[in-house]
Amino acid sequence: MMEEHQIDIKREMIHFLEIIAIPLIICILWQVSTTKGWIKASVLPAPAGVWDSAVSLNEKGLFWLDIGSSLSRILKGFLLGGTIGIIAGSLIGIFPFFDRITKVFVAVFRPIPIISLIPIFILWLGIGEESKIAVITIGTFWATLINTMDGIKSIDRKLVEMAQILGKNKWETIRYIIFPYAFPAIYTGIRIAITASIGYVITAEMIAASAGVGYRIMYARNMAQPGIMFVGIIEIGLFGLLVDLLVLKLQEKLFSYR
Amino acid sequence: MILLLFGMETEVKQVEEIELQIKNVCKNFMIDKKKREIIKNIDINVKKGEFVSIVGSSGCGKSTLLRIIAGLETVSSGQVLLEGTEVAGTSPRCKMAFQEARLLPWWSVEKNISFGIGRKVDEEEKDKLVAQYINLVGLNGFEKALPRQLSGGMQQRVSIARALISDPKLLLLDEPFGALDALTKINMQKEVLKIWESEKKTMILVTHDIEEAVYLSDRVIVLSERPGEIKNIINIDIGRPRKRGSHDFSYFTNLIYKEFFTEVEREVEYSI
Repeated sequence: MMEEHQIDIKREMIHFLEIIAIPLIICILWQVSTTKGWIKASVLPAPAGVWDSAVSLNEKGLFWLDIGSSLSRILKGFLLGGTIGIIAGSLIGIFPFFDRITKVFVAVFRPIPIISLIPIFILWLGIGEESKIAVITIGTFWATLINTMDGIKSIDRKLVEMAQILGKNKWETIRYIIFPYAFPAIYTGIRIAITASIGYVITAEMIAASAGVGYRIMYARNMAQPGIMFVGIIEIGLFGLLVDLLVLKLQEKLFSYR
Repeated sequence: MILLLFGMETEVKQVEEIELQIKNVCKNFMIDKKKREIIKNIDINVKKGEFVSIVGSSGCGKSTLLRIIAGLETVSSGQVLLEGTEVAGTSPRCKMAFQEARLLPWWSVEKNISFGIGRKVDEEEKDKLVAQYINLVGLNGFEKALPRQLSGGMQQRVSIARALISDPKLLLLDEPFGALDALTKINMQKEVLKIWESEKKTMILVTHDIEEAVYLSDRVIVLSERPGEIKNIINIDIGRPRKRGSHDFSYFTNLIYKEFFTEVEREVEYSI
């Protein structure tokens, strides 16, 4: 019993080492190549230099301001776009009428890259918060719309028939069968939307903003401060990692029946 | 006068009550823009509390007939009367179990079964009902289990409990054991027989398993190949429980087998 337990711990340690091996090698290479002077500090600053940049940003009160601005934009845009996307996707998935009247609209507008809309949003909404939130709203709208729609349309007809035999009305069928059935797909839509909105917010901030991680990266480029650029890049990477972990944990909890 | 009334009453009671009348039912489907007859001129009366099986080779329309009785399909011509009223859409008086259990994977056994309760009941009564039907199908101890944790046979038990919990008059079984292994199948047939005897329901089973039909039914209706027409109706006059190896049992299975063999032979003749 004891031995088995030890073997388990050993195995888990090995797995952990496997997981962090590549990031560790990259960090070592980064450290060595910059301190040995193989790569110029103006191209790639040393890890210590990036750390210093982060500390200096924090001292100026910009570090959390940037993260906060970017996060609040993602959150606002996602809440708006996600809500509309899920509602519209449900209507289209459930009622063939909505499917018919939106078919052409979806086919024409969905393939347009959201990035190409940024100039239009700036023209219409100015360079304030609205234009950036609009970009994320549209991006999250499409991701949730398509996944909700497809999830509902892929419903197992046999389950609907079963509900019919049991005398369930349309509303009960939607509530107890169609939605729970489509929920994993809707959740996938939400996951894709959040991940994609990181990209949208950074891009939008690079084009026009006065705070935010994307803005900071662009600003640092203009000021030739590569350290700050890398602070931004690492922030985005870590944020992505955090979102992924949360999403997966939640997924395990929500869909444990599968 | 009073005497006469009494006399009439007893007479009515003596006549066996008809639960389901299928009158000259035909069903056509449009396939490739051509009208295809699926079933033709079906006339069956099913008595209250009777166990009737419908057998036929695949594609003979036996499932379609069951779906018409359930109200999932409409007739092309003819009439289906359940307790004297015409079937139009699904009805609380008639429930169905399918070949697949069709359980909701996100719900426990308990919740899946309680989904079958048709009317509004308070929590206490609901729990009592669910416990009663879990007991009926022998799933005690699996109340909280999820469908994926159950074997195929157990999933079918849940499906049958869900169909029965609303206390329907008529239970339709569409090859419910078709996907089960031979041993589980035999056990499930015993279970269904037990339920039929204790619950006094009218049951109609569609199957392609002749032994199953003989084991369970009062009457076996043999359908011809497409379009499905009634080829023969065989009363299984053996007392229950029936023994599969017995002389009487083989007599009836052979009788039904013959219905199919003659058809196959004829077909061979045609193809030459």
